[in-house]
Amino acid sequence: MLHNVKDMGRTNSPLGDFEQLVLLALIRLGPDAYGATIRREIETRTGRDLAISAVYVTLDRLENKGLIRSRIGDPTPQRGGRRRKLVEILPAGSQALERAYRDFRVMTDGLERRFGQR
Amino acid sequence: MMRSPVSPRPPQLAAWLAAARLRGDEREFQLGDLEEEFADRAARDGVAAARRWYWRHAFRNLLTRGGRGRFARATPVPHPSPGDLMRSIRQDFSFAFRLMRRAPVATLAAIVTFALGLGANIAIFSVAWPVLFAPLPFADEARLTVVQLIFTRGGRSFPNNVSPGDYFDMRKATSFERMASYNQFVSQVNLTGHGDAMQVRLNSVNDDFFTVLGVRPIVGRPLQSGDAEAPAPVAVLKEATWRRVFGADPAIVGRTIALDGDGYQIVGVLPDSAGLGTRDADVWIPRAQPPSNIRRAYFLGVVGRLKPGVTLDAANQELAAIMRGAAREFPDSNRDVSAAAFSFREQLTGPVRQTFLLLVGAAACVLLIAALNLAGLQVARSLQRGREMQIRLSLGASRSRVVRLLVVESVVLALVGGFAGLWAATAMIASLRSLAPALVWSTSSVLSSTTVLTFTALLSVFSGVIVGALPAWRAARPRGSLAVQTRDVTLGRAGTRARASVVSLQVGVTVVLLIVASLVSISLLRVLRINPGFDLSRSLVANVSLPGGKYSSAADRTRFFDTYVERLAAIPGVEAACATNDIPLDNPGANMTFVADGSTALVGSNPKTVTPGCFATMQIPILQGRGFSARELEPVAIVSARMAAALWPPASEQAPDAHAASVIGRKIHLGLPAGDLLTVVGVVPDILNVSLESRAERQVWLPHSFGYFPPERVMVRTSVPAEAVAPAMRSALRELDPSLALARVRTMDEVVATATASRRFVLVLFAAFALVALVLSAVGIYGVLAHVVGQRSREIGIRLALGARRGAVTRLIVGHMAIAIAAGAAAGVLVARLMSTWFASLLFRMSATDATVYAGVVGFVGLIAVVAAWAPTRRAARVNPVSALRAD
Repeated sequence: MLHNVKDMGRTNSPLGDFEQLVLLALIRLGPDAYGATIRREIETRTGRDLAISAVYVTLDRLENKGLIRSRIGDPTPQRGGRRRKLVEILPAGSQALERAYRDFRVMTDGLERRFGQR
Repeated sequence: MMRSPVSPRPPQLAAWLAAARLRGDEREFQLGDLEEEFADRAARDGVAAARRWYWRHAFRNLLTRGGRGRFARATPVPHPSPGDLMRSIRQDFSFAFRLMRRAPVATLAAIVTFALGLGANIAIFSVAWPVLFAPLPFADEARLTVVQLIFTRGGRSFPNNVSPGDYFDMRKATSFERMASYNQFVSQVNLTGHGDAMQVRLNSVNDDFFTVLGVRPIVGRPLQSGDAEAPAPVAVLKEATWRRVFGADPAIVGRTIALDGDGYQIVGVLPDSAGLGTRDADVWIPRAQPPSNIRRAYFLGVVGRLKPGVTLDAANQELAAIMRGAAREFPDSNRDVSAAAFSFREQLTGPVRQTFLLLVGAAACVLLIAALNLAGLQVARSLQRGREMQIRLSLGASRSRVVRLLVVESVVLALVGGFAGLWAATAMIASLRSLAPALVWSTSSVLSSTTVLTFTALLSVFSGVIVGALPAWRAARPRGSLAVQTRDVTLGRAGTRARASVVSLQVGVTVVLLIVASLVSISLLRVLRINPGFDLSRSLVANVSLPGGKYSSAADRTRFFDTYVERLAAIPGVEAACATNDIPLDNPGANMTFVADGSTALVGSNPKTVTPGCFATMQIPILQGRGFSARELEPVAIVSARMAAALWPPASEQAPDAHAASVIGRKIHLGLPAGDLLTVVGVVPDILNVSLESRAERQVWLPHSFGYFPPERVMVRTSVPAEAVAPAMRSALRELDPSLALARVRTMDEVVATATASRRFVLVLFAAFALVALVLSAVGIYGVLAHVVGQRSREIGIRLALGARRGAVTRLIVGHMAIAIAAGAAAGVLVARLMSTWFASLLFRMSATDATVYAGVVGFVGLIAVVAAWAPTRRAARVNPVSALRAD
């Protein structure tokens, strides 16, 4: 398989399943989201037990794609004096998510009975 | 919110693991997130749950691919599914097995090395683990204590048994849920009605004793409160007795057994481990609480169960207060007497803990040496396979994938070696157990095979990973273009230095182990060469105990033993026979005091009551006066030289003989100045009574017709091998009284072997470990030198071609190795000296820093090193410059 290096990082590549979850969590959490809150949000809602490093790998990728941006917060005592990396979703991220949602809805249209109402 | 100083922190090791694979710039945020969640969870679910959560996430961080910047790909790479991972690990394993088949000699060498190193550890683990760490078979053992009196005499404090009066007082302590006592003296009784009469050990305990201990019965029930007052006497059996005598009859409960003619109904069977809490016995009978007014007889062992939450310190303060009260009330008996509770486990394992820790340390040293050899072997092999590794890397294998391949190979070798070691260790463990009755407390300390298997597997995998990982990491270093790799099979200067220091380390550790092993073995030889003052050879001893009913009077007992000894002496092959209350070196019993007539000074001694033939049987010469005659008309005694000197201190110039002669005809009181008067009729040499390793004791010999301390043992000296007369001794007893049993028939050599068993146990292990260490180090030295010579043969060739002398070239090659060996030996001597206080307790009357032994060991190790270095050095000296250069 050949890759064109310049294509990498373009926003029009489709979102992965986990990327979607992280972006949705960012929308739910608002502008002051960070690793721990994202991990917990996904864990409590989906029941998936996630490694924190998995969240960070995905955040890294989303930032490279230009879908989110991050800034460094202040150190807090609960974190043993460490700082937070706060992330928020960019308009491009929202658009990508909307596109994914639309695709998903179009593709599942008429199949609701099959998947049930959860 | 400010963090208070006591708020829980995530486990440090886990935090370190979690950070291990994180990119530097991300570490802060991710660790911060983990710690924040940890704090939340600790507040919500408790610290333990939060710790578990943190550990899990630390491991996940470690295992998550892509967490580390260097490996992060620009394109999203699908995470390998678990199936992929398993498949590729399976590939690694099958590749490892293929490689092992291809290089059988190297594989065998690695497996044997692993087997030696791991086997040593498995053997010691199986024996030491139950003693040091395994839970005791008692409910909630942490609350169990042993309670003892503390006597202070002449500025020294020592623990002692408890008297019934003190026990009665101590039971008032509120720190204890319950206290119970057992009799420190185990009696031998005759069990009849099941084939031949046999002797069993009988002990009496408070009826609630086993409930306090928390023993779970195998069949029926333990003794319980009220049993002592039950109309029909009851008893419980030990499991081993139940199996041996009653064939593990499940319907044993309710049956009645006869002990010395009295009937006891069996109510239950207790596991063998129940004996750990008391004196070991075969049968236990209940006894009511002892009378509270006896204070000067110290014969009770006491266990106490602390109330939940009460500390040992608090209990001890309360006990001390109670004993202070008793001292005020009973100053005669209780002045300078206190009491203390000790952790049950400490009491049980304290004496052997240090020995076992030393042995565990020695085994770990063996594994270290083995691992160093193997790591060296792996480095050499991975260098040879450098090209293969580079091809793998060039074709796109990640470095971690290549490392995993090499580590899997080493783990496979370790597992095969580990199970070979387990097989060898299993054979050893059985003999170790039989050697260590004094150290390993009971048959209950048998490790389950699952535990040993798990330990073997874990230790093998661990050693395999350690041995494989480091060389693998080096080998899998990407090194530019393939073309350069074809010749890169050398180690480089740093590598050679590393291997020289490995040799130093191995030699050092070997020297330490050999020094300890030598000192321990010299100590054992010294103990065995001690002259106990009587002759041990061709002697047989056995127990005979007379039941109270039939032989209640002293005259009955005297008559019985006179007749039995007479019949023993008549057995063909028996030169002399006698009966006595106890046998020297075989747990001799009672002590009592004597007073010289006209003096008030009490002199303690171990009294031995003997039939007249005993001095001839033990080959103890009469120094002065006479031995005992068959019928002594008046009370007489024979004293040992030391006892004579203690009773009547000799004048400063008096020769020993003259002093001994002077005491004949003098009189001593038994017990107290008002006690019965005995006339000294003879003086004999001192003998070693309690143990070969203690000093000779003051001894008073009394005729058995005297009545006190009735004989319980018989001893014969034979002109034929001692064991051969045992059947005749048995039938002679049966003819005399079929209800009696001849028990524990042993030669005196066996008695001594039992007494020195723990010494031999330690020696066997240390010697084995030291030997393995020596062999492995020799192999290590050989391996390093052979490698260096092979690697530098071209250089040697060039030097020779340029006119260097062979001797000088050889010195150049082996010189630095000689320095490494010498440095290792010197370090070993130094470490042994520094550690000498630790192993001094294993030695017998010799210095733990004995210079001769140290020098001998260093010389020996040097010799072995020369032997190991011989072949490679010769090869270096014989390098042919032409062929070495042509090889290019």
